[in-house]
Amino acid sequence: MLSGVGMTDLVVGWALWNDLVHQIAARTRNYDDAEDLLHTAYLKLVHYRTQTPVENVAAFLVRTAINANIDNRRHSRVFRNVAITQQLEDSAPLQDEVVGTRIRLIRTKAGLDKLPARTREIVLMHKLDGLKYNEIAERLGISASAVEKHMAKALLFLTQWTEGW
Amino acid sequence: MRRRFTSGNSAEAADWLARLRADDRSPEDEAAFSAWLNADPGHAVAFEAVNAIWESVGALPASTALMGCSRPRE
Repeated sequence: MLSGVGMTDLVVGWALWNDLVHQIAARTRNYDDAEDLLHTAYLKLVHYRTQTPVENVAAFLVRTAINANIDNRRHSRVFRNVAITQQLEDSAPLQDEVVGTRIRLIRTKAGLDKLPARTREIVLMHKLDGLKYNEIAERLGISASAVEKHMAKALLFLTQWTEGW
Repeated sequence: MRRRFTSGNSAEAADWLARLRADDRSPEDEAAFSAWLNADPGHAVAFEAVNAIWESVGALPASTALMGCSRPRE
């Protein structure tokens, strides 16, 4: 049994504490936070009792815990709404951009496939493998100038191929 | 008025990008490129388009899952 007079008698036995946790969980339907809510309520009780005597400590703790839960939910709902709204606002243009980029990439890939094999290979060796013209020329047994011509041809074709996409 | 690039500008822009990527790119090349860019607003537009395509080729590996890309070997 709790008494509301002095600090020394504000000892809550485990059984009562547990019972309070269950009451709070049942009333708030918030099983995860019930114990935390009780802790918060307990701290408020300690502070409140310095000013005002509390008749029914158990009832005070439960009521305070329920109020704390209401405040938390209100706060987190506002926060969640703000966060979700922000997300919706931010993601709409990003989605368009992502889809547009994907479509252009698909088009570019299709264009690459249309290139002659050697031309395509030169483009990929230079761009993806990072090889210089001389290195490509050596590997393919052609001149660096031929490599440059293949590059120009590929770039022109791909640019015209993807125009408007 | 939005200036659409003609195939002439595109071909020149492609030639220029290929030249600028060469191992033996020279200061003369760069000066000539600069002059070409400044000669006509359509040139910058065309070069921008060619450069964008060039960049996008680099993005292809990241999207291979989407496109099932494979490198053909000669």
